[in-house]
Amino acid sequence: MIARLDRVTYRYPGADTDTLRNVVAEVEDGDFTLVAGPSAGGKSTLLRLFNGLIPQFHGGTLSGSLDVAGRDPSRTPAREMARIAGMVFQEPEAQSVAETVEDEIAFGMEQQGVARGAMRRNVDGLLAALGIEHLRLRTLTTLSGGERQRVAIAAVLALEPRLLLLDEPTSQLDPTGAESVLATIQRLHGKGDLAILVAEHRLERLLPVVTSVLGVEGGIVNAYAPTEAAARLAAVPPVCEIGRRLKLNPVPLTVEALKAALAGRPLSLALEPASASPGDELLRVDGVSVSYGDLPALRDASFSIREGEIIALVGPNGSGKTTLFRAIAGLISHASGAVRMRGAAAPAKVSERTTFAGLVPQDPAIALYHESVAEELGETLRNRRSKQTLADSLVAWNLSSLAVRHPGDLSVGQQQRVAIGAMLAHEPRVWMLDEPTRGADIRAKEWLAHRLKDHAAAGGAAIVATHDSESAARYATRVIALDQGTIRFDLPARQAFGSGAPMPTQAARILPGAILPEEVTL
Amino acid sequence: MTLVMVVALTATNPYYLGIVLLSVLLVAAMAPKTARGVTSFRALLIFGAIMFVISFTIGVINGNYGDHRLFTIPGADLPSWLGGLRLGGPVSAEGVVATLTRGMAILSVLLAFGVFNSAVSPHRVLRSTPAALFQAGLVVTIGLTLLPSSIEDVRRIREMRALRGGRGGLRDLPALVVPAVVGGLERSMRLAEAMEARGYGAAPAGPRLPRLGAMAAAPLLLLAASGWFYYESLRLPSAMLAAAGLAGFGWWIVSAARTHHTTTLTSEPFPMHDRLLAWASLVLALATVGATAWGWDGLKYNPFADLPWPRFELAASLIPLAAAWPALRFAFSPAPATAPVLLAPGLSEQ
Amino acid sequence: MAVSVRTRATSRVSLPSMGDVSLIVLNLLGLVAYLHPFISAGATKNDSRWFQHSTDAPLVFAAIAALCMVLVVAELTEGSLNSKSLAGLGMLAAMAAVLRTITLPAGANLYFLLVILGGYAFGWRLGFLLGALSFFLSAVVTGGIGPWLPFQMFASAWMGLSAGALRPVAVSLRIRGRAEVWLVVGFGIAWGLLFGAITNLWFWPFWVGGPDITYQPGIGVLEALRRYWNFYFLTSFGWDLARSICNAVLIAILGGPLLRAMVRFQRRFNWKLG
Repeated sequence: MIARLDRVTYRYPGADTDTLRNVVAEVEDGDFTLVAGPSAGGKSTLLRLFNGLIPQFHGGTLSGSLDVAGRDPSRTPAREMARIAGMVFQEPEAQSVAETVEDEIAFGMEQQGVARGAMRRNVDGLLAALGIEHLRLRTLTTLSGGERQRVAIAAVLALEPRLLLLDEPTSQLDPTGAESVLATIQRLHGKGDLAILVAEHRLERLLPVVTSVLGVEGGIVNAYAPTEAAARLAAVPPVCEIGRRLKLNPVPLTVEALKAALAGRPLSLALEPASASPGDELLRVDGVSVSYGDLPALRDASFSIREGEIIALVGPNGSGKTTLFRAIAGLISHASGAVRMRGAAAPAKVSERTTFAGLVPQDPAIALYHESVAEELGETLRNRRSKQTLADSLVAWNLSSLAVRHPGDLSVGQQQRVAIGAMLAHEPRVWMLDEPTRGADIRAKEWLAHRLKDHAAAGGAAIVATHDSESAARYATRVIALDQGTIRFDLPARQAFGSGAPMPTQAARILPGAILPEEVTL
Repeated sequence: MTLVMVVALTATNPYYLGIVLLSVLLVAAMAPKTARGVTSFRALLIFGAIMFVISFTIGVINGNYGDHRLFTIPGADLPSWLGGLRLGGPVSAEGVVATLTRGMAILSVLLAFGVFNSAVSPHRVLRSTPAALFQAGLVVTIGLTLLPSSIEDVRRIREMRALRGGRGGLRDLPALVVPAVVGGLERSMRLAEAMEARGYGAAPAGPRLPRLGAMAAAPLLLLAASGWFYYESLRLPSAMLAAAGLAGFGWWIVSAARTHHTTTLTSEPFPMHDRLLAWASLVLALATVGATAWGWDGLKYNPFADLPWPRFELAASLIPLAAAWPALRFAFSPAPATAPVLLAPGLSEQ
Repeated sequence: MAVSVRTRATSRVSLPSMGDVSLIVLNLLGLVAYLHPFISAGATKNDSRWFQHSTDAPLVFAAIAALCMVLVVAELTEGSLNSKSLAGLGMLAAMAAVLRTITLPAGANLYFLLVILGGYAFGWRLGFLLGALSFFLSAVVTGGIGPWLPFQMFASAWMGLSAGALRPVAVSLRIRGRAEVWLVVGFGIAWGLLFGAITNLWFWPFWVGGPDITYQPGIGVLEALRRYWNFYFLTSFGWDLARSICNAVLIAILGGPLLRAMVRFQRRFNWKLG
């Protein structure tokens, strides 16, 4: 056994409630453990108990007993703990200090005074093990998020820890980057005795490969076997949800396992009646092209959006999704082509365009500035001379209970809601959201899906850039795919996400014609 | 580097200053170009030229030492409560020559540092920080690490203000600056956490005695310098004081390097012959300073002593000429990874 | 078994005992070395040879001032910074360094604002380091390393240090709210001018003009001050005045919100130097 927590209770300094209560958990050598649960439920806090960041870095009150490789992490100096438990964090940019990849990997060893020859061999070995030899001499700032996270893992492993802790390492990455990181982690498992604990929202990728699961919700920690977790966790991947609905036991973890468990029993499709057809045209994009220098970012994009429509804008990073939004909002002055709003040419000024078609860029929470949530929304209403009252706005964004709070005191999910609310408080007819659910948990995604549908039902329209087809299938009516600046297809959602389509959901791979778990029945 | 500075700031003979200036320009022309280097060197060149013109102009309009009057410009005295400065008046040949000489000196120093700055990457400078300044170096490294994302934040916050219908201008400034500062500080706390998790950050304090020694160096050197320059009879004790001070300082540097036992992945940042040459130029520079302090006037020229024609000696001219050696170095190995050669030897230690 | 761990920052002792005294002494020595042109009232005769050797002494004294800077920075950071203070200080220094490169109309610069408010909010020790290291960082990044650097670092460090010393004064005089912002505004105006006066000192001895304005060893404190004033007035007073007024406007606009945000941050992360 490498680590054991016994009746551990922890409270952050200045908090009113315990973040973790009476936690009992054990980690064996060679374990590959998924830490699952909603945002702000205590996953990060739990991981930080294993390397002593809690309470040594964060302070607060801790009770119970901790044992990691025979030491008490709450009292062992950080320099020593680093050789026992290494940790990789969410943000690629906020965890490195060196200039190049090899220097970054060597940094920890340099600080510990490892001899040069041993250090060289170690660096070579790690670069090979993580498949990043080609990056050796690159400057960190030129790497993609996925590459940086793999470098971070190598840098942590350089000190040969016995426990590897990963705190949502893919939440800031696109699907390609996330896949490369998760595949790397999976490869590490099974080589030697290294125990891995990874907190993640991408359960569909990890549940089938981990050896155990720690479910963390509301400060309570439960240990499960993977199939048990699929049956008990509040939020599970679609395939597990279908398995639960069909009362399969054990709950299958993959599409293949589910098909095998059904053993040829026929499934039937339960479709809700289609919603009303779209209304008048709100926004039209006509042959818009943008290039940065010699680099074309968007080529001749044309489409229109009508009342009641919600478009999911998909495509890999760098395919032009953000550029398209910026061109519509008027942020790119050298865009060619035309943008028409309600049949008329769009005004030139950004503030006038966004009065009609509001844009929420990625991570809008970094621009929060006021000292209360109400002031944040109030400022937008004032700037836009909106008829909407502040109280209505707070209700619409589910923020009434937080109105007097300082945005800085809220959880990341709540901050995101405040920030989206602040950008859209004046209820523009068209919403444009750039990856609004990146790193969010299922509850936040469901809330946003409802909010989007309400908006569309009231005669509005929305375009949402996203990598997440499972949750886009819940709200989108149409899907536009961009690839290298060109619109590759523009299809109704049921075709885009259906079986045999470009990007099928798990439900579609189980039953042709379905795209959502609840549409699959026996 | 050190040599250029020393020669430029001690020499007053226009021949030698000219040689230094040309050497620096030669090195700049031969040095490998990096994108960052070219812009910063050009900026410095422009800045230097402007400074030269301004100081020359100001020097001329009130440069009224000396007897060799060239011409007179109509002038006026500023009121006495402003210091009674006289503008205009007679312009003397000595004044013009002196101003030109000093202008050349300052220009050489500016340009020499320009070449240095453009050739050496910031991370490289920091890697060469002596262990005694480990923590301070770490602070600056962290700053460098966090810079790019902070600049990006400011750009994005500005865009989001526009998207929210913000009016821009001065009144919108707090909405731009406050989130940028707070966001940056919060990001730095996340970096601090990652650093802590990787087991570094706080280093223990170094041994106390060498630190005391280093601190004693400051008053000792100050006393020594005052004695040396202002009391001719006290030169020998001053020299001894200076030696004691430098010893204390050196002790501190060395002992700190022992306490902070770290290793490096890459071997010597600078090749051997570069290090040798750098040391040689430092020795030459120190020798020049020493000789000048003992009263050697080989590099000197005084226009105010009745405006003589400056002397030129071949031997003395070799000193400023030595500043051009990096150019030769570049000529023989056209593409070194980065140009380390102008580095002051003190920096190449760690 | 219950373990209660106090928050890290409070459980540390800030500096070894010899710290504060030696810091003050080192700063004063730096100041002496720095102001050497004014007090070089030694035995050198005011003969016609002054021009030849007038630059030797300033060169040596400037080097001593630089050495003092190194020692103060080393002493301030030695063993007393945890990872939080290192990172926060690094961040502030980085931001200040970026701001320094952005010149607003009339030479106004948010750099001054950040160093002054940083020192004011987080104390004199941080103020000093912030001032010194941000200048160093910006010199490293923009390619501004040179003999002028120690002078700029000292000027900026003293600006941060004195801002840190201003806070206790404001607290003891019960100056709060708007009045507090105005106090900092006035402080900013004063430093806008002082900063120029200090940084221009580095090349004064190397510069030749008329007798009313040129540095000459052995002329006595008052005469040196008079000449330097002339030099400063002629070369940079107008510029500095415009700059310090613009800085004051910036502090008036930004001071309140930024100070509140910094104090909030400090409380939230229990952040302080040491």
